[in-house]
Amino acid sequence: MTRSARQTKPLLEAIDFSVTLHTPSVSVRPVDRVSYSVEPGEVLAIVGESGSGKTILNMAPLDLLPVGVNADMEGAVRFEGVDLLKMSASELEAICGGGIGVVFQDPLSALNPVRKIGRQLTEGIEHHLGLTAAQADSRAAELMTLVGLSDPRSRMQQYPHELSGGMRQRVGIAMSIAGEPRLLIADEPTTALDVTVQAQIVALLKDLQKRLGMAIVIITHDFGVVSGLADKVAVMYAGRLSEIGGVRDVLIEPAHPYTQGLLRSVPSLTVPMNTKFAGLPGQPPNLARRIEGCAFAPRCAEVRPECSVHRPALLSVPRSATGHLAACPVVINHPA
Amino acid sequence: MLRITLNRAVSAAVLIIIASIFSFVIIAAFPGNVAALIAEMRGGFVSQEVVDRVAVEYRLNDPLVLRYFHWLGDVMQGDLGSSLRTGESVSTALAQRLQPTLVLVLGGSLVTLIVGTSLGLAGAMWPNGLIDRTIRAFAVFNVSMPKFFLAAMLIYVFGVQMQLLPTFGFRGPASWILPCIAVGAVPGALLSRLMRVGLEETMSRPFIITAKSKGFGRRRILFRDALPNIVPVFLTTFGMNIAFITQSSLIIEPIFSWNGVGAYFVEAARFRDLPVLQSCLLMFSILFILVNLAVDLIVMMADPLQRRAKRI
Repeated sequence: MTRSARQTKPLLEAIDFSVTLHTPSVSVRPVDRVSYSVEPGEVLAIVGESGSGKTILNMAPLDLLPVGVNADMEGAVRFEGVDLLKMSASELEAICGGGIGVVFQDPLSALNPVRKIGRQLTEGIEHHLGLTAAQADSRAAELMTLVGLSDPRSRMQQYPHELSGGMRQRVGIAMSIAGEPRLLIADEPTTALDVTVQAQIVALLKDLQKRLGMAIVIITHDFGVVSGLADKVAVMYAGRLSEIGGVRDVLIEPAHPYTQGLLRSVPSLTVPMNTKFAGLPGQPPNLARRIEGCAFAPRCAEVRPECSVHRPALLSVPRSATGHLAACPVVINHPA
Repeated sequence: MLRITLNRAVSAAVLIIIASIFSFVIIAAFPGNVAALIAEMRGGFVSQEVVDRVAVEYRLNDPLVLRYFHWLGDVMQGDLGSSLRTGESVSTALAQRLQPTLVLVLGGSLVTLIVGTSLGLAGAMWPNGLIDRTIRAFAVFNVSMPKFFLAAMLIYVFGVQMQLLPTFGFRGPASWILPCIAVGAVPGALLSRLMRVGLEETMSRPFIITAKSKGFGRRRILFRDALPNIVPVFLTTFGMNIAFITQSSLIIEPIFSWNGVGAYFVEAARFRDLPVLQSCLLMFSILFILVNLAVDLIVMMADPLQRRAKRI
């Protein structure tokens, strides 16, 4: 990364960020002291099982959690040096759609069913770029062409239910970049789509990232998406980061036993038929309980007595590239 | 779209025919000897001979089906028969009494719409705030209150105590206010709850989070994103409430001494004025069916999901 080499401030920086969600009966901690950073123009993929806190980690600082979810946040999440957690509602509104664009998982439910696509696109453009209605209209048409939608002018007169799933997600992406954001947060943007369409959307995101020079945080559990798109990967388990590093380092030489297990459980087309599917044994822990030690210890094949005493810190993996960190005493203390 | 419109129009026509059958049969099946009743109303000595003559005159001995078609034929030509009590033509009487009833139904609908929309929106704008809770209490109070009681309270407060508004007779716009509020307040309160709950439900849907992610504040999202989603349901329920309002005219018109169709109906019921009852029933049914047809078509045009989905 040429930019990060120039000692720029990170675009997004989470420091010891924790989220506690309160429901009437229980309190859970889906994000537990997570720290990471994203440089301008960089693509970070956050992977992990369902319920590992990936979505909450990214949506909570922007106040984009579902209605009725009460989140207590600690630590800091700085966007361009300013802590999102300390922003007022109106400051956050200026960031949302402006500095940070968001793409959602299910493009059908994420679009308003009774409003024309054109209006849903232009309102963000007018709001953040201060353009007139006519200017916003032509900008919207440009954006739709940019995301690969043909015949933008007539598409803008259509409603979401009149488009296919892939086209809807293209509209969702067009909406997210309408305010010319420096950071795009994409929450499993391909999960709800057909496999062939998934590849197109990943290619589109990659293309947009290059052309617009924006950074992307992509939340996914698809390693295909990770390898196709990301510069950096963060692996989340039980609300904690278990490993983070360059995409090659993590995918080729995973350090953390959890990452190794996760990669092993990816079905492969090159192994012989009838090979037993390698999953991870056990269940993720209950986040309503306080977890002492390493959250993965109960499922870990290499578990040691000290693993369940102290939570392991995220430390450099020996004999790997700088920036490749793992939270595992077994790996870190491995004799060189 | 055209096909659905035609479809709805045809079913409305069928409904009107069914309504006409009911209006006819219910009255025809009225207990007691109709011929004797009519003869009695004419006064004088009622002998079997007189009763028989009346029965022939009114074709009461014909089969029911034949009588229905005969009546239908007259109705189609605008002849609704004549009042048994006064002998005046029912069509003429109805035409004279139509204006107050139309004012009541339209004015009441307007009150319903204003009350329902404004209170519903206010409640959604400040959820669980003072206004929302007041409105909720008001809505429950309003729904559980009989219409005549509300009318009496309105008369007492605005007419008797404050001497602000006329409470008697159909005499210009000022006299329209209290009756229209009396018929419109209850359905308005119901609609405000519908709007409030509908908006809240819509505000928890995923596309609202999308709107938030574009940097819009709650109020703008409420009006631009949530509101259009509940317009179809709101309008449909509003249409059904127009029937409720129409029906209220039976109670409200006599209270405010309005000489409308509702008061005419009540009066006719008291004197068993069968042709009048029959005609009023038919009028109310047709009005109700047509209003609902209109609302259905408006909703269809307002709702893109309905407007376009079935075009293919």
